[in-house]
Amino acid sequence: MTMPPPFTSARDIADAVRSGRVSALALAEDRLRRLERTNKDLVAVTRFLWDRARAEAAAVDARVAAGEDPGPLAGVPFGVKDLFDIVGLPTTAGSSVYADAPPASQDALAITRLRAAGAVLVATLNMDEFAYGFATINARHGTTRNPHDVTRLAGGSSGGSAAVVAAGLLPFALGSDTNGSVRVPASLTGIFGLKPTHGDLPLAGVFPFADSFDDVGPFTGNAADMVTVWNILTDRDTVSLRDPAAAPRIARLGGRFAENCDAAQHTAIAAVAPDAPVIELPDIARARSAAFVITAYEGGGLHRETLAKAAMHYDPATRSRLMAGILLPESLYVRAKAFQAQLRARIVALFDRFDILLAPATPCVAPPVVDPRIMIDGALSPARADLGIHTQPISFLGLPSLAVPLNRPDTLPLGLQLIGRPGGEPMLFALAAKLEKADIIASTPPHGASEMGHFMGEVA
Amino acid sequence: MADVSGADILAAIPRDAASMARVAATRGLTVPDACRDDVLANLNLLATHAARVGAEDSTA
Repeated sequence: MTMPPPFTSARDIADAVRSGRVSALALAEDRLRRLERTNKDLVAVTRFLWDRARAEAAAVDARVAAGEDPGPLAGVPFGVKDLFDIVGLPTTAGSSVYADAPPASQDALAITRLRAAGAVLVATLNMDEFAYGFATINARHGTTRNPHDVTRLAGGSSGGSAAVVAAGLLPFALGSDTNGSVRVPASLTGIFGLKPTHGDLPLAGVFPFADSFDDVGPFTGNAADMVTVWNILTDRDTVSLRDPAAAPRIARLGGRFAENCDAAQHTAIAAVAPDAPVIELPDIARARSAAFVITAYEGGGLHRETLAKAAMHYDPATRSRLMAGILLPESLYVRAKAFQAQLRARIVALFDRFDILLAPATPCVAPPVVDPRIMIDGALSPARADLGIHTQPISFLGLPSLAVPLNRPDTLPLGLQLIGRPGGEPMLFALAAKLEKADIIASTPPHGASEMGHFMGEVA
Repeated sequence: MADVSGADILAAIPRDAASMARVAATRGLTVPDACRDDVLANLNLLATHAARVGAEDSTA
């Protein structure tokens, strides 16, 4: 039996396991060893689930041996952000506050669905504490590093999930996206990351942050794997990747989206849709401000009782942000929510004229760990708060958005957002597959990875 | 709630240590001295966002 190398797609791994060419158990152990070897550099894994992974993988192998089909993700190893319930373990949300919490009595629903499709959970992954940040700077677990340059951030808050997929260690992982916590790290690490239509993917058993915006989101190395994972998570009739009957009507987002945008993103957007009109979403800065307010208020409210008892157990940066949220007046929250409903109705109406909106996913490449600041509107600004400048307004509207990586090998990654109408994910997937086929977008291995085995977990 | 003016909303955001302590007490919270400055900094940041949110009537 030959082990599938890193960067093998989820579908190819499942095919190999289903046909009996690869043992799911051997594969899970191989991936866990690689994750362990590389974690000193990446700081991406918070818990290695050896026993559980072995048991799940052995069950998959037994089904194959019995002539049964374990499912479309047979034996595919995956990880989850450290805020999904896992039976028998405390759900910590990346925090010391819940390190000794009672163990979860069952898996999060998203994990249950993936397991039923044959996938094997191998690890929990690093995040900003309670998902409050865009950087994956975590006082308890450390700062997750970007596989393309370990002196740089991977982005956040689902940075651990993004890093292991970008490094080729796992073919997919789950994160959560409230204001951009899947799309930001996807852009900075050069992979695919989905913010679904708000509420479309199962949140049961996921530690909440801000109910108005919270969503589960997958990371993958290609568009086809994204469709496979999304189909399983939605638990609806399967959607396949095929060309739509008519070409999508595309618009490019101007204004702040275009003003805070890398030249490579401008070029790519022009290549994707050279004749598409440029439109400006109304009140976009106000939308982002309202998102900040709603997030702070809801997040603060969620933590009020715990902060009253154990404030000093929180990350200092998280604590001060949550406390500030608790102190906001309810009247401000009510006004922000009213604005959200009003703006959402106006923007959704745009989809009478367009099918997909194009925008940058992040305003720049990954910033250095030692100086995590980025340029916004011509001034330096903290990455932890502002990397989501382009994702936050889209979450505010509840729209699905697929972050896709520009095809630029040996260069720091950057991504675009393909934004659709509510329920419009299949159209986003179809466009992503088309752009992938045209080599405009692609997830590329970190520079030198294949030669050195640096992030393959090979023993030097 | 609809008749609360933007100015009233902004005024209700604590911007100094005394008002912060007073509002925190109404929420059953004590802001530890160690993080008082950071919480105030965040409140000031949120106040800029609040000003943008409340700049117009939300139904405009």
